[in-house]
Amino acid sequence: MKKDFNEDDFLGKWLSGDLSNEDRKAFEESEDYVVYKDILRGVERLDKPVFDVEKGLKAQKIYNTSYKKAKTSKVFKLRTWIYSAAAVVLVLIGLRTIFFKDVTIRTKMAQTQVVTLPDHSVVTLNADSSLKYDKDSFLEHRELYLKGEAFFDVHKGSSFTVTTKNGKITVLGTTFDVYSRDRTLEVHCFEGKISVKNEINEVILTPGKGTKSNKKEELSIVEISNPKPDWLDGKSSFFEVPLERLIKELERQYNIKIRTGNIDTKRVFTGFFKHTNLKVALSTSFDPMNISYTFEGDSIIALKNK
Amino acid sequence: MPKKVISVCEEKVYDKLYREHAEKICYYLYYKYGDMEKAQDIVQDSFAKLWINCSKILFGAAKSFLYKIANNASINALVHQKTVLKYQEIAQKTYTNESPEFQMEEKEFMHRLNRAISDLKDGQREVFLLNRMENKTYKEIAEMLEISVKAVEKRMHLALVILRKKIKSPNI
Repeated sequence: MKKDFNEDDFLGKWLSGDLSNEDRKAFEESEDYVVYKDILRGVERLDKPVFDVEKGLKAQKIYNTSYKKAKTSKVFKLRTWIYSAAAVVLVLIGLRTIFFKDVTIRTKMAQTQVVTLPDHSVVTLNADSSLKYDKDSFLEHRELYLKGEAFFDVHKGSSFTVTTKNGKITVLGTTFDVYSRDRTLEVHCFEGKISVKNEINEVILTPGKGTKSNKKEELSIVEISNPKPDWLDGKSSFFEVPLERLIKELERQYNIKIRTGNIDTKRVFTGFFKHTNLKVALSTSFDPMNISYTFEGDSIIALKNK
Repeated sequence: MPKKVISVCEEKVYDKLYREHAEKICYYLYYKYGDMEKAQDIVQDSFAKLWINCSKILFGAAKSFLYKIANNASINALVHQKTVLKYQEIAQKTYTNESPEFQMEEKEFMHRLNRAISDLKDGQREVFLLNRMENKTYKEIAEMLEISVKAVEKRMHLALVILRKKIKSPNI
């Protein structure tokens, strides 16, 4: 009996070797056969994440002990929890509407966001950063608070101030990038003129100049060559920074965890990685440093000296 | 002499069940929904439920109990979520005599294949990947999903036809 290629189980039978010789030979000469072969070869190259059985079993034991308790007291816990949470939220909302009209924008790991402020200035927030400003008074006093990293394109007007825990940046109308994490402050000026001030001193930056300080030391001036920050183009670059800063940025851009193990995170790194492909990023970051990396699950990476 | 009853409450028995089935259930859920983390969570919940109900479940029924719980849990947890698959491509060989053009085409092909697989219907994808990646026979898959072997054959056929069409003209 001859089977038709288009019959609804034909390929199923082909894969399990249940076709008659005659049918199989006819199919192997058809045009589509090559494509199907390619698909199967491609599927063979696909990889799946690792499931560690022994680790899972250990975690399971711990989970089981807490599971029972959670189950039995669930109703009571949920209710009190909901009531108290609702009360807290109400009070907070009330206080906020009475006293301030703060607007906060936060980005998560591996996320960037473009924000237009009430004065038409545009801010691009890098991953894991936050921006806060008062909605009511912003047009009179252009002031905002930044945690993390952001690129500012400031609309011309009265003075515009970005406060971070590591220092203050004041401008009139320009484009610049602020990086303020841990105890490091880095500001790059791309257009206009800006003033950067911390507890020790103040510097004025003109286009093509940047400033950098660690641990609230004196602000020094450095030259920068690119016309806008690399991270806006999906790339993070570093010039003579400790390795730990590179590692943290990788974690932020790819939403992963990196275990540093025995490597020295104070070593100096110069280079860049792209935000598009984790494997390539890891290889460009760690191969030159002679560090090997292995995946422990989907998003955990362990480092080791080669 | 009375026949010895195997109790799931015994740690040894429970561990054995875990070692035998946890990974398989996890991959089964992963192929269906494409989210490894969620799959692992569901596996953990299913085994926790087996543990607290251990006295009520016969050893022989434990497997189907686990699959049933896993199936129900996943339906609740993921009912509104669109599947996003994260199949990893096998690392490229460092030394290769393939031309750059060929490598580019290969990469493009793998990318399209990945997308086409994630666009398959859940039912087609789970059957297709269980067969191709776990080397499960149609009969095993049919038992696992509680469908007929004929239905597995049909899903395999349809999955391949759809993949071929998408790979030939990726914009469909």
